Amino acid sequence: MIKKILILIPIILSSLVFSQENYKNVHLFKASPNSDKNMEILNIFSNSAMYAYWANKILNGSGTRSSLSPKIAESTTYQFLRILSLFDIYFNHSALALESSASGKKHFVYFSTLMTNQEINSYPRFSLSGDPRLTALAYGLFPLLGRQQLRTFTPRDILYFDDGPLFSQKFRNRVHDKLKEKLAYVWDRAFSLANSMDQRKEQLNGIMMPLTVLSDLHIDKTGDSYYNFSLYLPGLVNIDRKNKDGKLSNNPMDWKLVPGLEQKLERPIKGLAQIIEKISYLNDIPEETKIEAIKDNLIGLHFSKNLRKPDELEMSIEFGQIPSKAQLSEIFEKEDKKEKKLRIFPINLKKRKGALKVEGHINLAAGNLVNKYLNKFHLQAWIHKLTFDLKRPKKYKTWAERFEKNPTYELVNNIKKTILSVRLKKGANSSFHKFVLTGMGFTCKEGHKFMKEENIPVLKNYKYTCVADFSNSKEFNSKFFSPFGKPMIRKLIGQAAYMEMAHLVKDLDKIPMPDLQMENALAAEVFKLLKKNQVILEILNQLPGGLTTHLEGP
Amino acid sequence: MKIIFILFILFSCSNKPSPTRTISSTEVPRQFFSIKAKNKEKLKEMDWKLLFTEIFAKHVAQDSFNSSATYSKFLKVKESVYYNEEKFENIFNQIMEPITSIGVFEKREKLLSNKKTLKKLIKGKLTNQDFKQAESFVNSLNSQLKKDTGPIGNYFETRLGQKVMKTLKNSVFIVLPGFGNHVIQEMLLPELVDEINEYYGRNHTRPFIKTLFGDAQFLDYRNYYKRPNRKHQFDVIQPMGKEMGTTTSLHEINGKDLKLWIDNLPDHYASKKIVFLGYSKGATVASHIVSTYSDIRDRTRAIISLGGPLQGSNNAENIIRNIYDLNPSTGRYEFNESLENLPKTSSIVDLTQNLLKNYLKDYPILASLAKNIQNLPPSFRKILQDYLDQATGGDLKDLLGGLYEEGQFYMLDWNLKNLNDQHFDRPIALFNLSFMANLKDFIQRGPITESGGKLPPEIVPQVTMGGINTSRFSADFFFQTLASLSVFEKSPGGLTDTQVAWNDSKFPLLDHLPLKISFNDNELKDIYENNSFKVFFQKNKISFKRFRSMPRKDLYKMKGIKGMHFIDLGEVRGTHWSSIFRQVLRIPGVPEYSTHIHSFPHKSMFKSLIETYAIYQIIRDGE
Repeated sequence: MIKKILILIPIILSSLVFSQENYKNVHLFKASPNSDKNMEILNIFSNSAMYAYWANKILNGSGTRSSLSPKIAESTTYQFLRILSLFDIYFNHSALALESSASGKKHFVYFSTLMTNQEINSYPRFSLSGDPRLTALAYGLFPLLGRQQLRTFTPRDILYFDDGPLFSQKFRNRVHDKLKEKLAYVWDRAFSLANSMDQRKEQLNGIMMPLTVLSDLHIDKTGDSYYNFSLYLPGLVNIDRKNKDGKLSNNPMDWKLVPGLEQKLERPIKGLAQIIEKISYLNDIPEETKIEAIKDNLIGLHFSKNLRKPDELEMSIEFGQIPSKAQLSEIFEKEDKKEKKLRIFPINLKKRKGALKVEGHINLAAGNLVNKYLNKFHLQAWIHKLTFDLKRPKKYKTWAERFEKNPTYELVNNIKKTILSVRLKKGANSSFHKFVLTGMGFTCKEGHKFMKEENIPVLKNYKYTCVADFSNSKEFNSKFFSPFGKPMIRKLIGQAAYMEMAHLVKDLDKIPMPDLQMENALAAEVFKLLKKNQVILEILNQLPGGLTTHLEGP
Repeated sequence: MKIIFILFILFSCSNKPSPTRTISSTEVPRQFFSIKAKNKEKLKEMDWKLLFTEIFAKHVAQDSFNSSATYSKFLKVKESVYYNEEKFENIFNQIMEPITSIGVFEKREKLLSNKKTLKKLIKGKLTNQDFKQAESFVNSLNSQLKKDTGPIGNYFETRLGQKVMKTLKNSVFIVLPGFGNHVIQEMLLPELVDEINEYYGRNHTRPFIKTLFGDAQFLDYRNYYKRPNRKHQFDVIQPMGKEMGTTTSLHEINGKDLKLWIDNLPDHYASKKIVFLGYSKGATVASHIVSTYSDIRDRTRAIISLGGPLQGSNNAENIIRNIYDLNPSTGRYEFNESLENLPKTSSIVDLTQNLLKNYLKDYPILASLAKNIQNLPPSFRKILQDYLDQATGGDLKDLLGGLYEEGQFYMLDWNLKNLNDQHFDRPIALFNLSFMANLKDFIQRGPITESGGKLPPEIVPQVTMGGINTSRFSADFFFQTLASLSVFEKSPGGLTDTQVAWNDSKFPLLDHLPLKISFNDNELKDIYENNSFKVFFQKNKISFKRFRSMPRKDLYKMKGIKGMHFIDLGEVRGTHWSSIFRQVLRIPGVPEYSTHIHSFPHKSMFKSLIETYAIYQIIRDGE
């Protein structure tokens, strides 16, 4: 009897999964230049990209370098949002056309690795896609273009369900290994000595280019049509442009790549209850281990769109690490319990090593006695995942209007899907003070014990340093995670977004609305940081005409 | 017999006419033409911009019905017409008010593409401007334009066309091509000339004949334009190939060759009054030939500039400045001498790589192309080289000299010297029609439906199983995208047609801007201190400071413009190429039927120009 049941189980399970042969509505972008479906989606994508780029160029380039009354372009941040919006308008509208002509559901999947020219020559098992004459021409004109390697799939790589395909765990394990391999390869090349200018530029291209791209588009006239788009990027580095004499140099051969970032903000961001003064990445890691550490770091940029909501787009940036092999299965299991969605690389968002860090201190209204005490709390926050809802104004009723008016997106922080962890640090000189802080959930140690044992810098002039960690994520774990009021603290962090400590003290049940302006200001600072990052500048300067204008300056 | 026949063909196909007949000033007495004072008054009162634009908009609306089911009339008008009732300088100032680039772009669309205004243009009759003697013609026009659809078939065979024929029976439009157009084998303004050629029993286009010996060339124009079998009235003719010299050459050479061409036209053209329809450089060649030759001046009644660089092209000027910067010790007047000092180059490709590095900083993709040209497949390189050699005529110095004369500095000098009633000593109408590009049209044009329907961008190749869909991909717009990235950044308010800034496409008498916004002080000093102008500046007490800052139209007025009537016909929405050509750059190997054709309503525009001029002539010559 048991044997019969055991035999039946796979039969039952397999009926939930289709094979590709009997599921004709999923299209995988394989390395096959003759597929008409490839053409259709390629056209939609390239039309959308060109529309977004060129429309923005016109809007932000009209008369900007004229000798008569030169006009001002939007900042790069805003141009980025506008380009996103314009791309989305075009793509969404084109997907509607696909929907109108489709019978039944359709699902398109695109997954590829991007490589530079040098990588193609030296990376094993790479095969060139596309028409060789067109590729030769395009590459001749744009030598810095990376080339893509489309996946070939075996029947076991994809599981087909009624609502669309999923990658099998086996496949995901395999590509996970390949990703680790590629990351190590890219960083080893980046940190090695360059013998020529071309080689140097190739090294820089290697770390600027996304490692992989995953995208899927689901068309369903009767239900929800949507698309998702994910880019996976290596961790952040800075380019030290100083030559041996300590002077700024324009010669890339003099430049040094420095893993991580550290940026003091020109203007500290002032919130309701805190001031942010510095943004950094990878600066908790000892210098000597940063080069190895960055090989584990991964940044994911994700977009998610419901085509029924034409004026909304969800964007998230994940700063994390590649999970270890052991962590993978656990992660896959948890993912499956959430929505069934085509996924590829899970990013470990628990560890702070991979996160983007902001620092500052608590700050309430001046003159407040409580503030006098509270503003000595040193604040560090790690952004593991930043999620925004991008929204256009609701006033556009028709598609024609959207195309005519070129609306941009506004950035609205999605607190529920943002993952932060926060550390408060406070010094205490008396045992009583230490007792109070411990009662609040802080862990206090004396002298240099924190530095010695935990690599946490202590506060000078205090006998005790007290630390408390908080997070709005249930999965976050830390030694200094206060067990006191965990769910409430998570809720606070989530809703107040960036630590409204005044309310923690005063009124626990009245959670204030987050200061959207401040959140947007923080977002703007993050983008500004990325914009000022030399690596990002190099990418932008490769674009035809550049994204920044001359008036805006370097 | 066969040998004699072949020899006959060989002799008759020579391109340059043998000087068998020239008109000298002693043969035909100079004709003195004048306009009655009251007619002059009426001509000045008329709102020509409104008249032309109304006629154009109505033609577009009518003709759109015939051409496409997907386009609504209004959409077609919106994509072709720009109009605001105010004068150029007022519109310009209003557009330039916002401080942001987006603000300027939105303002110009609001002012020039206002829905209500455009709808008003296509509704009802032409606005009554008390047309007097032209009343009958205008009534015929109104009666035609009020119909839902335009007539099918040859325009000149229609009632309206016949009216035009009769009204302009003593006129001939000579179409003059632009810079580099001699390499194009198609006639300019094909939609117009196709029909008039057909009307007179000529081939739609002048045949291009490959002979046994020598280069391929066009059928001799005296043969092509021989007296037709039907009554010869209004006509439209044009030099082809190198009949007015290489179009990249100097004005002096183009003018000389053009004069010879005109003088040797068949007899039935001798009594016709000339209207030069100059496209781009053709407009400045027209100005040159009229100011240089008195007999041409006697016969010419008007110059109509279509996108002409009447104050120079800032794109050409950028190139010249970059070359000039290589040897800046000479003044701008000594540019031609500075060409002698340039490094010897064997080809235009070398020129691009070596001389234009600075210029190409503005065009990173073109720079990449120039740098990586050796990486391109050999077949592509050959096509590029052949095209460039043909365009330049193999003479680089001549090309650069020709380009210099397209620039703003040269035109400033020429205009100050010649655009006055000493050189234009007969009454003449100087029309200009500007082109203004909305560069967004490259990527989105046509109707947009709620279910996702729209035309794809014309600058993105649409890939199909059979290759690229060439009927939807415009090589012209693609090239213009690459080449105009910095033009609209450097043009005031981004207002340009991709080659010529908006204000530079107007005669300087219509331009209120001071010279200092177009030139630096060194350049202006070169002009100010030139011997040709010293007396004028002294006599009129114009200091250097005043010279650089005053509205330039006031400066020109001081030079005397009594007999010159400057008329601004406004602007149409199109690029420097799309407003005139069906297609300029053809993808090699692509059959003509599957080539992309510009959707600009050329025929509607040309009809409107002819009809507007007809009304002008009636009023001018009326009793």
